[in-house]
Amino acid sequence: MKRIAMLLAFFVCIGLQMTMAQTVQITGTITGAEDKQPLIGATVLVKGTSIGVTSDTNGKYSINVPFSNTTLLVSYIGTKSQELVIAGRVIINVELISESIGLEEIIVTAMGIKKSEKSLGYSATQVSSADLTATGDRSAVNALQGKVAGINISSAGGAPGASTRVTLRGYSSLGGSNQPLYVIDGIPLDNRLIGSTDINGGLDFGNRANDINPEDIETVTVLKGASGAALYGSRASNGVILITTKKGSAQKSHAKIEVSSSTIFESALKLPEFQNEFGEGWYDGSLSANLEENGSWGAKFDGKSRIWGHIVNNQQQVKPYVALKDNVKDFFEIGKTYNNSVSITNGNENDSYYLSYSNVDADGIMPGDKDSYKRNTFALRGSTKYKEKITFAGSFNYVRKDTKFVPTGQEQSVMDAIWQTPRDISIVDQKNYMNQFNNVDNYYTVFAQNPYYALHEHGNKFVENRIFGNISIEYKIKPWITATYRIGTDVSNSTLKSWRAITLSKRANYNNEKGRVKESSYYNSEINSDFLLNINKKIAEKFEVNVVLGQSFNQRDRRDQSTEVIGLNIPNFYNISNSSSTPDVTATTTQRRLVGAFGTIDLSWNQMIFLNVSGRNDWSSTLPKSNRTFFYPSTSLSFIFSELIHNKNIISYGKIRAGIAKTGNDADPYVINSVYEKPDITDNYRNLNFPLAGSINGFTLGNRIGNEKLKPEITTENEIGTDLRFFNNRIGLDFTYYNRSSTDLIWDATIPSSTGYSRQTMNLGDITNKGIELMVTIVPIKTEDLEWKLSWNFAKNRNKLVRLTEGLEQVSLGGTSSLGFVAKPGYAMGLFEGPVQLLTDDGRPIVNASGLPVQSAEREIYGDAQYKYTMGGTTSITWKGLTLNSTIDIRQGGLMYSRTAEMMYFTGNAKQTTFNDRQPFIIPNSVVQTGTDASGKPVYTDNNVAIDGPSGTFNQYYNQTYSTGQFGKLYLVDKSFVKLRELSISYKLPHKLLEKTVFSGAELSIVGRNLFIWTPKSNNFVDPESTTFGDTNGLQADFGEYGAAPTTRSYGFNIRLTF
Amino acid sequence: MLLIVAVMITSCKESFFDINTDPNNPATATPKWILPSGIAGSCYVIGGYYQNLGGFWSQHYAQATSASQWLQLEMFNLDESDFDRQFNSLYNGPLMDFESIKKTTLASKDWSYYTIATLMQSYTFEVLADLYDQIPFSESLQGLEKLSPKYEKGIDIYDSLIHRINFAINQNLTANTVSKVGTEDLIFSGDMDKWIQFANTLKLKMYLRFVNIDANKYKAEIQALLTENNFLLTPACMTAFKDEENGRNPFYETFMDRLAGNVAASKTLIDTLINTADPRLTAIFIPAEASGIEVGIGQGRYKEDQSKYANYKNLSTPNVTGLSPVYLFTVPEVYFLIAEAELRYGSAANAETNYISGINASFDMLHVTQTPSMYNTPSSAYYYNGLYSIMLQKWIAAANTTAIESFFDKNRTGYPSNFVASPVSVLTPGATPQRLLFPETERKSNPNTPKRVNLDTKVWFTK
Repeated sequence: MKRIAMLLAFFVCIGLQMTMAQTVQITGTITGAEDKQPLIGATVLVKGTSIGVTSDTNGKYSINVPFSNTTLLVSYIGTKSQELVIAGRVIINVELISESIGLEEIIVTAMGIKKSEKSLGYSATQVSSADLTATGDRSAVNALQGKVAGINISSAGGAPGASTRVTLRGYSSLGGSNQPLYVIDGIPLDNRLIGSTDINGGLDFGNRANDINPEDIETVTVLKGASGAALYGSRASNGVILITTKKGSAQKSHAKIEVSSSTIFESALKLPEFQNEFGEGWYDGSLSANLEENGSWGAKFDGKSRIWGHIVNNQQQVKPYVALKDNVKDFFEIGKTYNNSVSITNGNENDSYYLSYSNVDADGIMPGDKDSYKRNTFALRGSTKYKEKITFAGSFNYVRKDTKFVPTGQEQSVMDAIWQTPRDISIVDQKNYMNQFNNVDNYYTVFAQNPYYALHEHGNKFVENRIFGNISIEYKIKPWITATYRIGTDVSNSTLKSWRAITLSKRANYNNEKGRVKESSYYNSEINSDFLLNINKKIAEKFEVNVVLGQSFNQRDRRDQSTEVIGLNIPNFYNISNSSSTPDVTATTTQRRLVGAFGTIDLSWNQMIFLNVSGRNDWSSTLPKSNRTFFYPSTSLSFIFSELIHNKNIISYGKIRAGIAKTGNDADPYVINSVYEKPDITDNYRNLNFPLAGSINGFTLGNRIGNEKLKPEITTENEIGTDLRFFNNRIGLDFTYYNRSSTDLIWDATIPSSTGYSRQTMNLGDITNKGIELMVTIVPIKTEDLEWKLSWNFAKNRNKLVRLTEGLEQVSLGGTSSLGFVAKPGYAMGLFEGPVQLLTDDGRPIVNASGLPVQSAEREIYGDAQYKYTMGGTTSITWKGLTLNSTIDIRQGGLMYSRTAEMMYFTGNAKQTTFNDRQPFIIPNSVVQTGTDASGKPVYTDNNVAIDGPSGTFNQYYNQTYSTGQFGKLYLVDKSFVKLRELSISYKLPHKLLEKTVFSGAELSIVGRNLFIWTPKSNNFVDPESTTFGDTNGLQADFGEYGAAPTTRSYGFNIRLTF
Repeated sequence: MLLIVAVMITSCKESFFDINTDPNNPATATPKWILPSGIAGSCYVIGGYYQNLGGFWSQHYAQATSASQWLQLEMFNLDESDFDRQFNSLYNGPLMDFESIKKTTLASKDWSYYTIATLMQSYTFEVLADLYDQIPFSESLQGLEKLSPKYEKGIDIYDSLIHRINFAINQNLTANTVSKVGTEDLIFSGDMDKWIQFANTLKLKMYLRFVNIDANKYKAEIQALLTENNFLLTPACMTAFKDEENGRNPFYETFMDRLAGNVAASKTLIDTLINTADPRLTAIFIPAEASGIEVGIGQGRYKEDQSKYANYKNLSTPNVTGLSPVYLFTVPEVYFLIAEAELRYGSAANAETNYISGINASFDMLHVTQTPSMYNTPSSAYYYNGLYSIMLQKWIAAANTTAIESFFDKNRTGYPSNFVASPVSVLTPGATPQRLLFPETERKSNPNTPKRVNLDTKVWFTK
């Protein structure tokens, strides 16, 4: 408390002196040098003062300049600023030349404060509207892929509406969220992902940051480091993505109407590479046994006619025994997305409005509409000025989402059924699942469900209504002091209904399902209130000071309820009333509050040296009383050394920057105290739910032991960098080195269950992330008609868990029973571990009596899930109205688990399973234990037992469930990839052509996203971006995919018309 | 400025931030509500995973063809992650629930809850000690006080448990501090007389574990118990199941329903029953769906016999339903325990009487109406021949109910002697499983976890 009071006093005492002087009025028009069109909203500043105006709708400005000042500074986004010596003139017209590489850009920074790019002592990347909407993607976050150094963006899967994970500069937290904070017009956004990572039916209804209509966005600023984020407090320790929406803008004659329409088609991007040599079968069972198998461990294809499936009504089907190369591919349809939006905007000096509506209607690649995403957004923004001093502004947004998602995972799963289909069996022919050979009773394999049945008879429906927006009042108390109050909210109400049909097979009960219905509802609300005082003052010649003092309050509420009944009475009727069984009911509410007080001071000298000092104190409700309040300072410096160089022919601009910043992170609610809970008695297959028969309820002592000593997690980041422009800004180079260390990580540590508990949320270790980010921009050609721009970004992050609290060897992050996913000191986070092939002292593989590898008792580390480096490249060529854009996204290194790969090996559908033509082979140089010697040491002799083909132990070799094959390691794939992320060609109709029409602009584009993917040879299974463990915590999602549907490539066209 | 100050004053008010009390879970609960959670938690593991383990390792059950879920049990190829969940959920579930009941009721002298919690906890500890040979015990269940509980030897744990049981049952159950326990006692609905019988039966079972290592250690106590003859005459079992998914008998729920098609009848038990024309056969196993006859598959022969039996439909399956109770003691088991105790420490005549009572009780329990007879005809299936017969009949009677006890009995007494070797065993020839491996989570989080001991290393009570 004391600290804050002093901080406030310090800020308030600065520069309250103000001088009044006589002035002269200067007027003029600002136009673009190339098209001679007026520039609206260009800034005219009296150099060395804070006096400034902006140009009006006709590009006209009028400014009162004190006599003592001699120079005007004129700037506009995307153009080169000009300094104009007044020299007694009263009318000064200006033509601004567009800039090759944005330099004088105004960047929206924390709390919506606009700063010139050169004053920033840290790395911030701004992406403009055009880049976000170029390919008509429904998600502005996806559209950032490949465009910003040091940001990893992965779309979880190919389903329409799937979530997108974002990681900035690596993982700095084990728990909580590793996702950045999304802020829209100064108000933090709720980014919850509603879904499930259950391996028996995973769901993903998308994260809410994806639901912002990209057409509404003016710019997106990525604040990667702690420096930029410090003002947002504890929620920003993983970086901030600032979204600034389009505001109303003044138009020349009438309101501007913009219509944009895209039609996008989708198809599967990457399917596993299948073997096409062996067909249906398992072991060496008799032919009749093989006819109900769900794999391709059978005989080699011979092209002869062969009966298949069950005998039904004394009939049996016959087909040639040949591989159907495209049986899986043929299952999928062409997905379609229609994305339409319209906006209208107008205004004058005092008032403005912006109104938009958008509609996305997407149906994914699964047959039918069981994978679909419909989104309607409505946005209204406006502002009005009262007496030049008070500005009221407001924004209201409504989003409605209707989504259906085909569950991932292993139970009653469509994808599982597809991956298990033998290479000779047609999937599309099973489409009629009522047919006597394809129905639940007689489907050819008893081990899987007809995928069409699972797709059409089971289902879910997700509906979300969401309102977010804010109201702000800005009061210009004095020309140099502005007070702003802003209050915003983000409220969502969602419902999810999911069901499974009664599915009882007369033939076998492996896949029986009694039918179930689950109704869930989710309510989230977030209220955010900010008060800001902005003081901008010139202290002396060339010396300016800008002080912001602020206070913010945030409250987040959540209420989740769900009811499930299992065992339905009336078939095909899905309501929770339709069951004799006890409903399983849950209800959870959480509430948390966070209050922050902050101050920041910017000092600048001669537009050359900029110094920033900030501090924030947070009070969090989720931490114990004694550790509830925490303070963190930050500082940064920017030095434009090119100001000292007279000749700017070679180095046209040069900046060195450095910053050091801290941020804190609080805990989840309710981890401080131990509680009693409803018993969760389960063996991971089924449960014993309370209340028991006889209406007996119970409570058990919860497994998490409270922690009253919990402290906030603190991240400290040092960052240095440089931004350079050469040869008249034709070449640009931005470089950043950062070193981020997070201490007192908050996470659930596993404690031995023999203590009576199993975990405690504690401060258990430290993480570091060190890395570099490099961005090079080149404009090789720039003439009046032709411009060619290239940009390339590179990032390398080294992540390391430095320390764990004493007594903890490692912490578990998830994983499956055979494949651990852990964090261990000294290693990058997200380590895969499992058993390995046991070797003799002299390194020879040990096999068992069947010739199969013997596994080690201890688990060893296979590798980690972190990319070694990431790169992105964009190029754009503009010739007259024609523009070609492309983006490539490259990621190298890291491992992921793939259930798809596991299924491919299990079923013998993987290309790899044809090794040695499935003939018997002996593991080279292997030995087998024959006994022990006198001292008890094992005695080995050469192994001469072969792994004996598909009829014997061969499938065990590829199937980890036997613990004797190649273990979990086999299902880890290298997740490196190169993707052609975007390719678009657009044509802007010339103004001349449109002069006589109602249009003021028209643009046609052909667009493509994720058109091609290249993966290492070892990954011939999945798009490595796929995840199904995609909670909003990026780290756990990095484990991989558990039966995800294929990701997609999309292509289509786009029309944009302006009236 | 004023607003800042105003809000900051607000923010300093403690109550504004004191919203971190979990509204979803209670901070406290009385024994009435904790007891069912504890009992159900113990029964869930003992009657579920441990029942299945016992079923396989005492050759009641075997893996069916065309499936492979329980292959590891047939191969004896376990690793530390197997049964890790069961170990953990027993400690942080029922054992801890019983501990918390014991703690509060010891202070309040509420001896009914105290006794039940002590007995249930002792029974559960005993099963764990038998399975692992060494487990965390006196330092366990202490939360942060003991973050790395030491492991103690099974034999020492037995001594402590017997002491704990005696302490509990010697309290005055009629004192005015004692609550009346109702249906929250899932085993006896608060009938404390039955809990005393349970204690006597449990003690008898535990004393008999010492026969190979120190046979006379508890001789006097055993003889006193036999004289008092106050053992259970009704089964100790949990019946609070309902016939709906996630409400049923745990063995049925997971092993027969969720993972249907894997557990089949073992040829060892089925042949024993067929060869003696034992009428209990069809009560223990459901005949093969395909043929309507009783067929068992040999241990570990799920692959060799693939061509003989296409899948589980060609094999008999356990006759367990969703409403079958989970047994801690069955009545036949009690008689066979007494028979063994009489044989070793009492009168041979009483041994035979109790042996006959055991078989009759088994018939009754299975609702088999035929009366077994001719106990004294050497050609009869039920001819009494000392320990061999007691253990053989105890093994048959334990099918589908207390199979894990049969596994311990086999290792303790060597009976029944009809077990076959699994052809897929990864153990050295002739070796059989004796224990489970120390669990993985303990290994990783508790530095006091002992070094790995192989699956076929004998435990303290093994013959």
